[in-house]
Amino acid sequence: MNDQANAQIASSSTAAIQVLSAQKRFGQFTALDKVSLEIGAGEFFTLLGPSGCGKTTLLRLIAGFEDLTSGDILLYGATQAGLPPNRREINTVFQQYALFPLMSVVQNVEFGLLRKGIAKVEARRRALAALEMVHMGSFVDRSPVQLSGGQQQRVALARALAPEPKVLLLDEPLSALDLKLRQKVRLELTTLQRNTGITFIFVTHDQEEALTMSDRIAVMSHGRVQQVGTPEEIYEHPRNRFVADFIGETNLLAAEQLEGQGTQATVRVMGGRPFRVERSADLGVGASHVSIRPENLILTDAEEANISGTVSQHVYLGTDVQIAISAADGTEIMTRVQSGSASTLPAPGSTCHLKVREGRARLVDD
Amino acid sequence: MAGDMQSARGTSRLYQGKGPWLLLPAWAVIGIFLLLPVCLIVVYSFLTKEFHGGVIPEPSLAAYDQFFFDRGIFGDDPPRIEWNYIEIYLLSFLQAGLATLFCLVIGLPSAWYIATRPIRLRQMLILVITVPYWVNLLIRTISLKFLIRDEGPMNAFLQWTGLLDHPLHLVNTSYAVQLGLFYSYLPFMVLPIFASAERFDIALSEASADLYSTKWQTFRLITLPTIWPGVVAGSILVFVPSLGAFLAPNLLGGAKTYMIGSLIDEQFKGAAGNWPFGAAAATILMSVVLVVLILNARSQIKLKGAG
Repeated sequence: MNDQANAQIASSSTAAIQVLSAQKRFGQFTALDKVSLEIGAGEFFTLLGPSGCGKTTLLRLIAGFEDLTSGDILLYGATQAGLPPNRREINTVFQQYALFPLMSVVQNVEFGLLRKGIAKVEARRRALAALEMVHMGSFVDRSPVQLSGGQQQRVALARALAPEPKVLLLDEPLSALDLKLRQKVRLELTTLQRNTGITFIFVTHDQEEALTMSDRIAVMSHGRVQQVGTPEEIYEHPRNRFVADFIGETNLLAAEQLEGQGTQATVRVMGGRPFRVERSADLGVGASHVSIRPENLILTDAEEANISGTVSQHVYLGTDVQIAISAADGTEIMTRVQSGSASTLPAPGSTCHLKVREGRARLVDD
Repeated sequence: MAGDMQSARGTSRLYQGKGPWLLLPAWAVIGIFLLLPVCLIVVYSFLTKEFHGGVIPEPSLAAYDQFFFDRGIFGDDPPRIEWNYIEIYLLSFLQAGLATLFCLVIGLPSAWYIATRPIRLRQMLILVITVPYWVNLLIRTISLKFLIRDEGPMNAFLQWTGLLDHPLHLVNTSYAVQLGLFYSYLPFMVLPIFASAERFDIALSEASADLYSTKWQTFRLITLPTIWPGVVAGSILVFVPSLGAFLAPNLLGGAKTYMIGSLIDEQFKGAAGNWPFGAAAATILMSVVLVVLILNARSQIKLKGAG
């Protein structure tokens, strides 16, 4: 992992942010464990992981709110270590927005411009333009406390974008919004990022947000980066059990590896018929699990079965029906079929045979 | 968010219309034991002096005349402005103002420090701040006098370290009074500032730093305006009692450092006293304080209106 990341860093020259074996300890607790990452200029990059995985710590290190224990962070090749936040051309959209309550909306937005030494008239002009960009042009003189959550979020965005930072950091900015608004803002954020061309680093625990918005995603857990890739790579080719499990729904099954070379292997699950799976060439020797998405398990008859079990229940999900199956050893397995074919579904209590869709299962690291 | 909650509380029908009854006991106490005596003092200031203390119910402006005008020993010279009492007032204002300033300079950083500690430590530090209040102010002021007198432990220590070769004369100077005022009222500055600083959202400081503010700019533009109501409340709580204080000036200042409190105190003691004059001095003090408070309230309202 580290070698691959280092190789990537060496090859690219248009990186906005380079994180070099960044480590952060709080007393005995290691929040970030020698993380290396490269984030390209103009990229929409997402740090994804459960709470406590180190994603917010990494964001705060990039912003300058925390100091590195060891390692380095570069902004367009220049080290940021030791620089206070006000000397980094990086701005942040805070989780709870942190708008200045005693200032009006426009005063909030021009704050950064004025501190940068831009003349009053010009600062006001640019602040108004930024507010126009996020459709808040008619709220200029309001107090932030009079605004709804969605409006505050737009002002926070305008405030962070107005000084035209080289990198914009967004710390779970959608988590305080309700579902409908969140979906709308998601689209607006990606549009805004494309229009401004500013590098966005977006922190979230919501995999759907990450998959729909990002150019690339870094999946994190326990202070380490588990995998970096495009949404498709992360979803289709998870590197390890954690990534496979965290992104989307999957069946993680203990597997016996019969043969394996290059990117192909043959495995057997629970004594069923062997099947071919995909694997990365550099997979560790400990790899003993396959990840199979529910939609990649097909109902079949006994001769073709890779996995067999007893149907325990059906769950109607609208477009799909989810079928829960208990294998002989008690493992729960999920599969999905389109809801139109409901009449042919195996009844609960009956035996059921499953086949793995060709090439859609993946051997993963522990 | 806080604004929303407050307006919700203001419009909630659950608590509407129940205020007056809950306030009644407090109103009764304040009405009988505060407003009534204050009115009595104002009335007394316009009555005639009884020579063995007390008043004769005969209207007179003599007390105010004595305060502002000098008519010579026999009282028949043409009136000139009497500077003695005005001077005592101005000096008292200076002392109280300095005490407020020192309390602010020392109290603001302390309050900020306490407010930014973890909750456990915060509660403990606030408890420590209030500990001196478990001891009576008179006892504390006398102890302070023992501590700083010429042969006291402070001077003994300073001479022992070699910083001084002769004792520092503090007792019976205005410096001792200043020290006494500062020491008595410091917690009144710390507590209100702490209360407003505790509610300050640290994310605002981070946002300010993120938007290119230096530490000083963040303090001046973000932190100070937010905790300003606490600063104003603390300043009033220190300034007003300092102005009328008589323990510190009496015990630490001796005969030379006279403050309003001592002047009024003396007028109500024994045969040498002059009740109408004491009442007039108190009324004048109250009027001045009231004017200052009203001006302050108006400027606060204006600030809010502008924001």
